[in-house]
Amino acid sequence: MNNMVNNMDKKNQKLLEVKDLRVSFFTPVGEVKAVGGISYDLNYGEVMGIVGESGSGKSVEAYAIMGLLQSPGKVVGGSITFDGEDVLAKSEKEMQAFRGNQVSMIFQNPMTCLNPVYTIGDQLIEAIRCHKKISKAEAREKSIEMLKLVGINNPERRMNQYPHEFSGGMRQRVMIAMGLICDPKMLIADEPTTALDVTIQAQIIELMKDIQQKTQMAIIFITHNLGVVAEICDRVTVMYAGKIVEQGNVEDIFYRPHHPYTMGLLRSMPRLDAEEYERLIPIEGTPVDMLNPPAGCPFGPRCEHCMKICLRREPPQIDLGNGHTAACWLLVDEAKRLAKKEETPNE
Amino acid sequence: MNNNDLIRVENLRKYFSIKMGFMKYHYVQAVEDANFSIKKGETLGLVGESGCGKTTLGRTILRLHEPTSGKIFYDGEDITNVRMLPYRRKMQIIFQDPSASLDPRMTVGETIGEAIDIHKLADSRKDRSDRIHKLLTQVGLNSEHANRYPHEFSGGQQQRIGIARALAVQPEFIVCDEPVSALDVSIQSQIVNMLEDMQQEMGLTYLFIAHDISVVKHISNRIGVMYLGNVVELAESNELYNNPLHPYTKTLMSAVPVPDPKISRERKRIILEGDIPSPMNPPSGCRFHTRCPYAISRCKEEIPAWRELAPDHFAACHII
Repeated sequence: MNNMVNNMDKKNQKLLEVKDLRVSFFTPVGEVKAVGGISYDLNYGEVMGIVGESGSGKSVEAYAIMGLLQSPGKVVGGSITFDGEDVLAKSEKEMQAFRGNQVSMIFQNPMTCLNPVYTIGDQLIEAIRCHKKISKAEAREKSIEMLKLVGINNPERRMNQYPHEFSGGMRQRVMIAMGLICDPKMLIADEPTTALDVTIQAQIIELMKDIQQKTQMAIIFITHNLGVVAEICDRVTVMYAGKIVEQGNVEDIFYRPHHPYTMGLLRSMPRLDAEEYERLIPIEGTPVDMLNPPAGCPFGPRCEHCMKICLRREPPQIDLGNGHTAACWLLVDEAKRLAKKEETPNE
Repeated sequence: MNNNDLIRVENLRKYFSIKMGFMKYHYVQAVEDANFSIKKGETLGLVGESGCGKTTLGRTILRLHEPTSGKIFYDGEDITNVRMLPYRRKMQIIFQDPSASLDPRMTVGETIGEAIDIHKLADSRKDRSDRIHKLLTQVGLNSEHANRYPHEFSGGQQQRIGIARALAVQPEFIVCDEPVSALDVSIQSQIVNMLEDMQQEMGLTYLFIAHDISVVKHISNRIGVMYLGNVVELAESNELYNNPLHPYTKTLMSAVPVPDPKISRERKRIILEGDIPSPMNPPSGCRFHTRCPYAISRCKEEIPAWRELAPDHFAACHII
C-alpha cells in the first residue's frame, strides 16, 4: 500500500480544494442552480461529512468532483484541484484514469451499482486491471485480500458468486472493497448506509472507521443522518439549497452551531438518550423550490431570526476561528445593529 | 380482558404462501404468534429492521391482510371474521410513501371526499366541502389546496394530505406505517408534532411503526421490538431504553447513532455478526439464536415463552 505511507507523510496537507464551484441543470422549465458557489478544502487523511436535505446539492457536488455529471447538468463555474491537478481540465480519458485510481466513490444502493450478470470476482478483477498492469492471478489474489479486509467470510468462494447471492450489507462491503482496491487517496461515500438497517449500518460504519485508520485515506461522507456524522467525521459541511451554510470541525458544529439552519436541524431531531419527553422544535416551512430560489439567504423564508437584509442580499461567510465558518447575517455586526434599529423604529 | 384496551391481538399469525413449482408451496412466516394490546389513547411503537414483519403486523390488525390464525379484538369485539366496512371508519392507516398512496388523477378534495362519501358522513354538499376544508386547515394546508393534484405538493405536504384522508372518517385508531421515513429531517419533526397534536385533540390511539428508534421512542408510550416475525420485547419506552432485557433490543439500542460526537465515540456498541436469516426458512427455537452473542444450546431447540419479567415488561428469551 504505497498510498498509505504517502497519506501518513502528508497529513495536514491539502488534498482537495474546491473553489466557488457552481453546477447547474438546464431543464426545459429553466436553470436549476443545484450547487451555487461552494468552496472548501480537504486534507490528506481527513474525514469530512457533508450534511443536507434532499435537493441541497450534496450529491451533485460529489458527482462534479468525479466528473460524473450527466446532461443536462454542467459545471458552470469555479475550480476543483485535487492533489495539485485541475480536475475540471482533464479529458474524458484522463478522468477514466483518475476515477477509481485517485478517487473512488461508493453509492447509496449497492444493488444498482453491481452488474448482476458478472460474478463479484470478475467485477473486482476488472476494477484493478483497468488501472494497473498486473496479471489476472495477481488481481484475483488482491481481490481476495480486499474482500477479507472488508470482513467477508470465505472470500475464495464468494468471488465466484453473483451480486444477488449477497445481502444488502454484504453488497455494500463489496462496493467498499471495489472502491478501495486501487488504493485511492480519497473515497467519496454517498449515503452509504442509508439503505441499510441500523444493525447493519453500525457494522458498515465500524468497518469504514477501521479501514480509514489503517489506510489514512481521506473520506467525504455524504449523508443526511447527523448521528452517523457525529460518529465518523472530523469536519462537517452543512449545505442548504446548493450553498454551504456552515462548516467546521465536528465539535464546533454539534456543540457550538452558529447558523440557524444547523441549530434547527440539531433541535428538531428526537434524541434516543432523552430522559424526559420534550416536544420537538421543527424548522417551519417547506424546502426551497430550486427553480425559483428566494433572493438573499436561501434559508431566509424559513428562518425564525429572519431580518430584512436576509431576504435581499446573500450573507457572507463569516470566519469564527479554528476553521469554523457560517454564512449568516446575524453574525455580521453591522447587520445586528441594523436589526436593532428595525426593531425599535421610534427611537 | 381489560376494558381500557382498544386493540388486542391473541396469537396472531400471518404466513404468506409462495408457489415453488407444481402443488408445492413455501411459506413466509411474516408474523408469528403476536400477543399484545393497545390501550385507548396510547401510542404503541413497533420497531425492527426491514423484513421483520412490523408492517405486516400493522396491516393484519386492520385486516388488510387476512390473518392465518389467531384473533383480533377491537374494543372488546372479535373482528377476526366480521364484515370490516363499519370498522374501517374507526380504524385507519397512514402510509409510508405519500406520493404512492395518493391517486395522481384525483384532486386532494376528491381523495378526502371519497372517504366521506363511502361512509355517508356528510348531510349535504355544503357539509361535505366544509368538512374537507376543515380537515385541510387541521393538517396545516389551505382550503384552496382542495382543487389541486398531489404532484403539486412537496413530500411533507403530501403526507399531510394522507393524514387528512385518514382523519376524514373520524377514526379512533390509526396505524402509522413509517409516516415520516420518506421525509427530510426538518419536515419529520413537523409531522411528528402534528400527529401528537391530533392525538391530544381527538383522543386517537396510534400504532406507530418505524425503523427509526429515536422517533419511535419520542412518540410512543410503549414500544414493541420485532425480530424476524416475532415480537421479542415489549415495555414502556423509557424502561425499554434504560433497561432492555432481550439481547436483540440491547443491540438495536446500541446501534442507533446518537447526534453527539462525544457520546457516540465513547460508548460501547454491540456489533451483530451476520445478517437477518430468511423468514421463509427461519432458525429453529429462538429465531435470534444464530446472531445472539449469548446463545446457549437450549435456544436452538426450544421456542422461548412470552413472559412478563417485570411489571408491564414482556420479553421472550431463555437466558433472562
